[in-house]
Amino acid sequence: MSQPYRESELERAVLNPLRQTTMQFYLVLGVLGLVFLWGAASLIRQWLLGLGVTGLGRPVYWGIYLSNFVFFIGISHAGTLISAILRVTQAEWRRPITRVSEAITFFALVLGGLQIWIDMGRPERVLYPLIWGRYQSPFLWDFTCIGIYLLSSTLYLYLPMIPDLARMRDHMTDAPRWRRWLYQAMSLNWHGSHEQNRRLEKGIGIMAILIIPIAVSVHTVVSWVFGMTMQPMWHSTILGPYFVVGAIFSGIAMLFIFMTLIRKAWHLEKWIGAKQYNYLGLLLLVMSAFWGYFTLAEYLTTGYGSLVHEAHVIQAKLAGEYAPWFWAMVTCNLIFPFAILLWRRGRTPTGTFIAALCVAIGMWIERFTIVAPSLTRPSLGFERAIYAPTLTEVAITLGSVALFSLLFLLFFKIFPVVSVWEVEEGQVIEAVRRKAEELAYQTG
Amino acid sequence: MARWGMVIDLDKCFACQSCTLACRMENNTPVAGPDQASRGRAILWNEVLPFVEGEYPEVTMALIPRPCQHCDNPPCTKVCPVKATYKDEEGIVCIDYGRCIGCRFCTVACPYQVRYFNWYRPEWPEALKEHLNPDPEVAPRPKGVVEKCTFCIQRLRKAREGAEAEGRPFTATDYTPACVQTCTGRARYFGDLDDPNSLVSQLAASPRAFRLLEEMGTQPKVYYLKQG
Amino acid sequence: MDKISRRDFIKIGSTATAVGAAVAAASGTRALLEQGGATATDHSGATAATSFTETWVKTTCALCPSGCGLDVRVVHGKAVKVEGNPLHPLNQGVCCLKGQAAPEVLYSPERIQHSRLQTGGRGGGDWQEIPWDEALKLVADKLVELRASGQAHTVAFIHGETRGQMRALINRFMAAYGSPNVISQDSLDEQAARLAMFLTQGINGIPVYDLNNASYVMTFGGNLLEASRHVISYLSSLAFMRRGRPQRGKLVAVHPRMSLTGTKADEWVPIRPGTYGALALGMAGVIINSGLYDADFVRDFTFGFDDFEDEAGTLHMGFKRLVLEAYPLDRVESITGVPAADIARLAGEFAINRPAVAVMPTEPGGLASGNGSYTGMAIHALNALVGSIDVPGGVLVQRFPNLADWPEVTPDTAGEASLLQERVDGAGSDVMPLALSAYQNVADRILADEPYPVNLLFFYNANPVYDAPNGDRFAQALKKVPFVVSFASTLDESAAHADLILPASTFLEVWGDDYIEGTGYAGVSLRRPVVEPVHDTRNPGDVLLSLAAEVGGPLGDGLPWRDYKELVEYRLSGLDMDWAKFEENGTWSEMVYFNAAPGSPAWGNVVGRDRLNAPKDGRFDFFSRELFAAMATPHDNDCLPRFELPVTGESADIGAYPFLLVTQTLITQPRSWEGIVPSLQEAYGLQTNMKWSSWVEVNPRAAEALGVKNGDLVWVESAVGRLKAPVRLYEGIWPNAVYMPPGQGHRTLVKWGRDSEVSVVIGANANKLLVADTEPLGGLAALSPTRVRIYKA
Ligand SMILES: Nc1nc2c(c(=O)[nH]1)N[C@H]1C(S)=C(S)[C@@H](COP(=O)(O)OP(=O)(O)OC[C@H]3O[C@@H](n4cnc5c(=O)[nH]c(N)nc54)[C@H](O)[C@@H]3O)O[C@H]1N2
Ligand SMILES: Nc1nc2c(c(=O)[nH]1)N[C@H]1C(S)=C(S)[C@@H](COP(=O)(O)OP(=O)(O)OC[C@H]3O[C@@H](n4cnc5c(=O)[nH]c(N)nc54)[C@H](O)[C@@H]3O)O[C@H]1N2
Ligand code: SF4
Ligand code: SF4
Ligand code: SF4
Ligand code: SF4
Ligand code: SF4
Ligand SMILES: [Mo]
Repeated sequence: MSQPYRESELERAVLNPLRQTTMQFYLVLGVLGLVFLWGAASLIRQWLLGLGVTGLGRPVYWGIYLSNFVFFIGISHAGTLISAILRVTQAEWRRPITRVSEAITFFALVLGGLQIWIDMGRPERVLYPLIWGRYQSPFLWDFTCIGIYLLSSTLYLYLPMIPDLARMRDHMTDAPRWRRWLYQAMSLNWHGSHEQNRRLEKGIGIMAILIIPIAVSVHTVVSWVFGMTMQPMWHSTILGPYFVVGAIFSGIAMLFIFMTLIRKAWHLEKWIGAKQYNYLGLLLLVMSAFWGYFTLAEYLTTGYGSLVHEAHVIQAKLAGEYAPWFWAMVTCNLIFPFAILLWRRGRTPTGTFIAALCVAIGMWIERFTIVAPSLTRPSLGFERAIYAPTLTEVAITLGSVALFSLLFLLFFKIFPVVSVWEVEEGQVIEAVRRKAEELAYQTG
Repeated sequence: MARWGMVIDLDKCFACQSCTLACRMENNTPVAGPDQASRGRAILWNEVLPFVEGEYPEVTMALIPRPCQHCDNPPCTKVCPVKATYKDEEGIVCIDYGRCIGCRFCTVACPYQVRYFNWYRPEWPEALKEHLNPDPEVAPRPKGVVEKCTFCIQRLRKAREGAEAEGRPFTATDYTPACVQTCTGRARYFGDLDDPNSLVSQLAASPRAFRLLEEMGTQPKVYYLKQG
Repeated sequence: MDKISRRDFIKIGSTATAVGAAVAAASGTRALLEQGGATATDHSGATAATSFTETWVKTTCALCPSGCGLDVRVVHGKAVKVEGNPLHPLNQGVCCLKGQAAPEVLYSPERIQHSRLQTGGRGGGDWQEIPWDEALKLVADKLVELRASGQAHTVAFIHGETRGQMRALINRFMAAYGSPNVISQDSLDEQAARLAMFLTQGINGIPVYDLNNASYVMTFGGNLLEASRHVISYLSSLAFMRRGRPQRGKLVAVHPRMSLTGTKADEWVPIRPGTYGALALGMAGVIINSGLYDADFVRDFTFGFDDFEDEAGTLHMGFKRLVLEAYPLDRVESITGVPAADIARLAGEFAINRPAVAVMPTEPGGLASGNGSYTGMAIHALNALVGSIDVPGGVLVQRFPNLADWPEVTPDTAGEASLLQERVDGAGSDVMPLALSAYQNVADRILADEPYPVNLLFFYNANPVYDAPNGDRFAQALKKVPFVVSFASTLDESAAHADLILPASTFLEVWGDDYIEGTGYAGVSLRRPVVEPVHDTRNPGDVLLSLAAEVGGPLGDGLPWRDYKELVEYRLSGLDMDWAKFEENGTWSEMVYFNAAPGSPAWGNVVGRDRLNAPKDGRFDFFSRELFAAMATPHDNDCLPRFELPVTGESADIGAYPFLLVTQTLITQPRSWEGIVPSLQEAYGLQTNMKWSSWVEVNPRAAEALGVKNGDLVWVESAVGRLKAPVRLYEGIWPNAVYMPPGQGHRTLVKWGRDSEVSVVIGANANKLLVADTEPLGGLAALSPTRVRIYKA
């Protein structure tokens, strides 16, 4: 009947790592696993003893768990941006990196939600918001928005994966039983019929549009957890958009980091290349500018106004004990990205990777300098406190990052890292377009 | 239904902190100890807060005793995701320790820094447990929940029960929180703000009266009278 | 476990949380704690009617000299809450923070639970618990043996604060036994104020200030609102002075450091440490110069205002000439650092706003500058100048009730002989004719076997190894004494050097009485056990009576009561009151103070009453005739209030030790209790937000010059020692002074809270820095201002 199936070059590159496991993989897995275990052990200890093991106290009731929360939720915007916004705007170069970005979204949300649980004084009451939740609390807005976002991004990760899953069901016959079963189950009887294709495209299209407002709402609402209180420098209308911009900014950075690592590990240089780096690099630069603009707007207005309570916080950030953090943030988020990305020469994989690392770090610091300094300078203005995280908090934070990477790694040990069918579809479109151009040229 | 409120006359208050200690002994707030206290984890529901102004020799210092303000528009209850903290019918802002998930949103939202968190399980040296107040409302709080001044709500219940036992109607004067009872300068007044004839509502209307961070719109039910 | 009635049970069964609450209530909060504190209580569910066996017991506080009436809530035999006794005239239902913390004293884990003997070396810490009978026998045998060998005088009794009959009991015990050596801590303490009062007004007592009625109150160091001997009544009175009467009075606090009193005063006047006397004299000059003084009073009821001739025709200098010549404003400004214009203004305000009262401190901080008695006299002279002696709003004289007489004791010849021996502390000798005690001298004298070796030493409510300047020398001296007995309740620094500890019960477990002081009128207050003794401890009063019975002889005859309660009952039987009512109310008093009209028969009770060598002519002495009589070759200057530079303060090494150390009692510091009171530690340094620690307050400008920042650890070093403490920048302190809180620096063997260590010293003992000396005549300790330097640790 049909001739033996011949894998395309792309398919081979993507599926090979799913078939064979290298030493490096185990090494990375081991290191991440150890860090994760360290974090997990610290967390269990924290649960047994209480949040006293953190560096928190009065008046700094929230620390780096909350910073992590905002950070992770922030980077979840990678997926939305690349897959949804670029899809809606029909940017073709997005195709090889959609899967990575959607995975980032999914895992970042899981980790973000986890941070809140980690931060709870009574973790065993984690389901109480479901039982007694009340919508007056911005936390409930968060739970809701993040919940919806998590659901839709799961869907959004899953839908475009179906054709690839079917392909693996059909061709990865050498895979272990459970995986074959998994592919079988998850591919939902996909056989690429016209009708199925039509429905999938439609589904993805709807999701792409839906997910944009959801994502924006999620980050706005996250900011409102702070903004709805009357703490100095939190109680500001700019906070919502500022958080959204920051989120997209950090999302792109995170995408760069993972994309570059995967490109290297999976040898995908052919598919993820100059175009992606150039365009995304420009995007990062633009977001950096936006971020800088918002930062300026925020600090200039509060600084110029110098309301007593806010002036203390500004002082702490610009020249006080949080100044090193603040200026590190500015350097990472503004100076480095501009220095590197402004020139075409800088928008190479290495250049952007460095810039992205800077931004990722800078954006974490940004989250931290939003959470901590305001709390050290309460409005009542009697107490000055300095917050320094403990080893437990550091361990849990690193453990979270490790868990994030670990989940990511394991996920792509089972599922293809590039949306093969979408790239192929892109190649077809490209071919058709070229053909059309040729024709036009010939006829014209 | 009464609307309980407090007035503190800063001209009569000499910052003796008797209220602070009376509150601790009445409400079983735990001993933090040197290490935890140095981390800002001492739990004193009614602290006297110092605010220094000026430079030597023109220096002044305001010393303000600060219980929970029992705001009529409390920012703390609004943010609680599970309604573990709420304002009851008589205007007292309460916490349900059995429901609090320990998210500390309320501690962050309260501009008066009156809410305290149990970072660890509260502990006393064995011998000191003997003196804990056995009233059920003040049973030591578990770790991981928030606590604060309740206007000594157990005393409200006891006052009601006492009046009932004596077969007479309960009146506002039956109910005196611990800090008010012990105040050495007799600077603290307590009563029903809705009763125009009560001492507290009259004092609250005094030209010397002000409230902390009034501009925040929290509408505290604790009033202060200016010194001098 | 207590029973819960069926009805109650049904009631509480309604909500699950309420059941938790009921369990907590029924089995006591204790059980709850043991479950891990996991049971939650919901207010809305806490309608549980709980069946407590609850009683209220009235007694008297002993955590500071005020002696407030307390009303203690006792549930299931445990003292769980303290309120003020509304019927007590002093505190009238309120209670300070130390009183509030009293249950932490009662149940302190630091308490010594049984009598114990130190078996290893002194201070080695090898203790063996022994039964009370054995312990008492040990002491009684020693007493009998020493007395038999004619060594009764080599027994010494060192005591601190005593309440009610306790001081008389101690004195009587020692006198009947035959030793002159009852050494009180007063020379470190109120003796300066007492002496100043005696040398001017002729009253042996500390002045009482009628702040309820004063229009102008100026406190020269007296920390009225925070310490002071009658702190609780002064707190209420000042509140009343401000808001309880039509006209608001003014409070001015002259302190080198802005204490709570300075903070809450209408005006804080910073002053160079140790120079109150000069300020008072400068003000007197202004008042006299401007003719604002009470000329009638001065003319008719004072002595030595103008120059005068004595019987021999010698001309003596009067107060007026002294102040006008020697204390012109510019000189006073340069001594005190208070601007001349301010001095003049304050003097004017003081003289015009009558009744005005000038308050002297009772603490050595203010008066132990080696010029204590003169400083006290100078301050008190201001009161006479404006006629504030025994008028409403002025200085009152505390009255005491007439109690039943002590039975006669007939000393035997042996006792009489030993009684006449010189005292171990040298008080009453030619150098210190006016001294009653010289606590600070004991260590050196014991070490030098002067005047003879001490064989047995008792300690009661005193901890000289900690609180005396040069405490380490005291520890050495103790090693030299063959047998040392302490009545300590906790293992304080001195008790650690004892052979035998007869642990005292706390004031909440014993019978006793207390004189009501600070009201002016006479009164007594009852002390009674509010709970069963928590440990195997005894009332030192009971112990002394048991010892007396066992030793027998005149001692047994002189103290014929079986226990201290009986003694107290006997003494109070002299009062016209009903004992049952007394137990119910917890207090008895005369309730009214009658001011004596100058010159009336009653006037003799308020001026001159206790004079020994000066005429009881109803005249207030600006020129102290008592001093004139006490001195061998008196100069006029020596008999008038005057100012001397503090001995320790202005020595040559100003360059080496540029700062003056100021200590000042904090309200959070309990008295007669050296153990840790955790809740007070948690509220310790209000202005600097320091808990569980010591600190050194430095003026920010001085700190800048030193290059130290808030929180830096520094060494504070004097000629005799150094201590490490963190810096707190404080605007409210004289720039050349630094402040350290007294009362910290005790070792605790208890783990207080999580992550704290066992066996640590909480804070640092500022007394270790004090350079000590003794003031001639009165034998007062001179310990401040001590010069120190500061450098980064
Ligand atoms: N809470 C509490 N109350 C107490 C006590 C207690 O321990 N705790 N103790 C009780 C006893 S025993 C006493 S004697 C009284 C004492 O009562 P006060 O005499 O009122 O005691 P202090 O607070 O020591 O006040 C001494 C004053 O002297 C000032 N001072 C300190 N050093 C110097 C100096 O070198 N020169 C000059 N000129 N001034 C100086 C201080 O600033 C302070 O204002 O308090 C009694 N009340
Ligand atoms: N730097 C500095 N030093 C000072 C002062 C200052 O202002 N500055 N003030 C000085 C003054 S005025 C004073 S009065 C002293 C006070 O100093 P201390 O005499 O040290 O103070 P007290 O707290 O009275 O402690 C006396 C002892 O009584 C014991 N004790 C406690 N309760 C009981 C009891 O119920 N029964 C018995 N038998 N013993 C008990 C305690 O264990 C302790 O050993 O400090 C003096 N030292
Ligand atoms: S003072 Fe704070 S805790 Fe109290 S009611 Fe107001 S906001 Fe809530
Ligand atoms: S900490 Fe407790 S009371 Fe406060 S907001 Fe969270 S759940 Fe509510
Ligand atoms: S009212 Fe009661 S709970 Fe509130 S501060 Fe006063 S004593 Fe404490
Ligand atoms: S008890 Fe009264 S006088 Fe003392 S600090 Fe509290 S409010 Fe002020
Ligand atoms: S410590 Fe002093 S002022 Fe306080 S309650 Fe006791 S006796 Fe009264
Ligand atoms: Mo004293």
